[in-house]
Amino acid sequence: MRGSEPPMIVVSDLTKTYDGTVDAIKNISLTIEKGEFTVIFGPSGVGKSTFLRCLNYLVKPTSGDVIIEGQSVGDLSTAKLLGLRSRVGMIFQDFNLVNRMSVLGNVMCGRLYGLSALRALTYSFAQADHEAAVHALRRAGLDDVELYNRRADTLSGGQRQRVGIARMLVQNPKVILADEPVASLDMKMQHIIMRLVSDIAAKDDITVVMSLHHLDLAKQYASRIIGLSDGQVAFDGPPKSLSDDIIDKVFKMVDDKVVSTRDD
Amino acid sequence: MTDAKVDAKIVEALALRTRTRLNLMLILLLVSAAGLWSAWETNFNLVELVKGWRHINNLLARMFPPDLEIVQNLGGPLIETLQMALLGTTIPIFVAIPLAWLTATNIAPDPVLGNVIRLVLHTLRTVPELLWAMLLVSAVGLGTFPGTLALILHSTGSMGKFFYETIEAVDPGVIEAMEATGANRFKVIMFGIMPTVLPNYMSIVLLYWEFNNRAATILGLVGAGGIGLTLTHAIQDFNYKEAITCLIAIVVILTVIDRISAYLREKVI
Amino acid sequence: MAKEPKAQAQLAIPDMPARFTAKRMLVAVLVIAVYWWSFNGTGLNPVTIIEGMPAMWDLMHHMFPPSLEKYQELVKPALETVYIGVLATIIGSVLSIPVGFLAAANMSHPLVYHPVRLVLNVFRGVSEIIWALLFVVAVGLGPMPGVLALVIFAVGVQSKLVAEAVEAVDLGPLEAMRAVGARPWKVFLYGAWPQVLPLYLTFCLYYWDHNTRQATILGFVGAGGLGVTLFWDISVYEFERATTSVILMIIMITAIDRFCLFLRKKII
Repeated sequence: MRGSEPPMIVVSDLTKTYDGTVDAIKNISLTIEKGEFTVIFGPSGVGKSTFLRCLNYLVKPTSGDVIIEGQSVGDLSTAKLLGLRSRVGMIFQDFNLVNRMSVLGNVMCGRLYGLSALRALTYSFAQADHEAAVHALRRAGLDDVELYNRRADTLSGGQRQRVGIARMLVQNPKVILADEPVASLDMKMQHIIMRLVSDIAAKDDITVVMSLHHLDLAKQYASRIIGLSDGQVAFDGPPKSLSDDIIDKVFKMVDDKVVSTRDD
Repeated sequence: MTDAKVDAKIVEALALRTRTRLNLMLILLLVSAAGLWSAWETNFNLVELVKGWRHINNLLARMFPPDLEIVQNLGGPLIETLQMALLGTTIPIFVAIPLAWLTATNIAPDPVLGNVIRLVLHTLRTVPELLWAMLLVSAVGLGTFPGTLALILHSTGSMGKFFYETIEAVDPGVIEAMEATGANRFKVIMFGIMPTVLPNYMSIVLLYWEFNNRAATILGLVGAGGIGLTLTHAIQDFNYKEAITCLIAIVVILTVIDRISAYLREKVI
Repeated sequence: MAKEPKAQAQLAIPDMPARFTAKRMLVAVLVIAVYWWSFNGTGLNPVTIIEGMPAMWDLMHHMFPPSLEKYQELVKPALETVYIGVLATIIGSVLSIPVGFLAAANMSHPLVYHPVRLVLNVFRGVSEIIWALLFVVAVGLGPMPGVLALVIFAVGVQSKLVAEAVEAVDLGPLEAMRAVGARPWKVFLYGAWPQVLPLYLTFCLYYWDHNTRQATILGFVGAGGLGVTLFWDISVYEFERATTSVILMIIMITAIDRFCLFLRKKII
């Protein structure tokens, strides 16, 4: 616990219902402190992605509150919401880069919030944006200058996720949301990327909320694991408390996806 | 599988085959009936065809050899045609793209407005260019002005539809990523969508340039300028040798345009 | 102390790609010149558009509301347009199979292939409405020249599409057919055709839609259908009835368009 500092993220009674019938997430209430590395764990389709997207209102919750740094996200005007999002970085399972744009261009997109309309219309980023992008790429582990002007879809999966991470870095984020960031990568790359995110978060004191279905990665890197089952919190605690019994009892072994995380 | 089950499957397969055959025959029957009915109603039969064949031969005889003297007079009308096609293809881009931004279901700000625009675009593209041209000629008079406007109207509808359909096919993940950085709708469109759809757009613009050149050659039939006008005058004056020259000129210029378009396509896309 | 490494880092940053190269400037100048020339040539500019607005607005006034009296007179021409479209599509589609076969490089003899391709280019090179005009001049007014015109153009386009589809077939089955001793046309029918069929059907549906659209205006040159009454109405400034025709035309084309989309989904 950080003591005097207010929590970074407070979620109260969060519910998202699709089509009036399907509850993706139901009555989730949590508090996440600044600097915590929280992993939302659970099999596919359990609501992890929905939960993450409710935090930056990419998905609007049906009911409940999300409060980031004391501000209720639902009460924000559109302009202020954009401002909030500019300080919340997000990385994705499929990287979500603009394939035809250069690597540098993709990274500079992280600075879109601050880009003037005129600059946006003429696709001209400032020199400062360019420099920030280069620094971010280096920090994300891409030193090879030759790559910077190549189209994003010419890179390997691991490299693309590094570009995604660089894009997030230029935002100077306070919070990182990560939606299954390593699910599309091979095992070696999974660890590299997890370590990269972990190091960056530790160094810059960033709060991380990450969804994973890989149990071993969750246990290794998280400071706190929140297990979701059927859209609700089924477990909340440090990795060492997540025993096999709890996994068996809470996460319904019939779902073989949970079993398979041990083979990943 | 047991023998009985195998037998059952064979029977099922044969039944399916017979049903498919029957369906096929039914469709062929329907189509033939439609064809025969249409032929009856339009008085299209072998007798008429044979009669017509003699007339066609007659016409061909009167068209050849082509009158080559008028070739030097064709330069102006041909250029007019090309100019109409150029403007008729490129000006709609600036109208159709913003309209597509307002209509594409994945980025439209207001669904009602989006549907209205969709309807407008549909009307613009369903009314043939020649009809637009004729209506505009009766409003503003003869010449290339109504012709160009007609092409602009029609192409805005056609290209607009393609533009918004392409936008709707963009990977939603990329749009999400842009939104997550705090970009407003305009920036999401400019950086998330436009770079992705640009090659498709360029391809379709080239295609419509080809179409519009073709269309521009005939707008003259209703007085909207270009080489179509020269052709119409020649036919009205029974100057068939001039008419065939115009036709040859049209075919030549369109072939050249097709070649240029193919070249540009390779270079730019 | 802190400045030195920063300066070094800045030295190492690659430059942003240049935006205003000489070549791009030259292209820009050329493009502007061509457009200036085009705007002059066509008489299209903001001034003329604004000047033309009142006249166009006036036209709109005359066209609406559409006149519903005598609309029964439009039914027959409208149906005629549909018939022309249907008939032309059927004849064109049927003819494009053998012609497409002859125009396919892997099926046909070089002595046949080149002339056929040339003829097809001519068929396609001239707009349908010009064909219609020529046929009207030759055989007189009515729907027949319209059908002939659409058939000629359709054969030109569809045969090329069939030929391209045939040229793209997997040669394996064809080799097998030849090995068994089948004649060329049988090789085509049993080896190539099944692969071509789905594409062919898609073309046919597409061209039915296209042909109906064209058929609506062939009447402008006297080749039958709704275009004949429409041309007349606009020429004598009977705009209200013209609007009814236009609306009828739009409904007709939209209906066939949707129907074709529905059929296409069933094929695939």
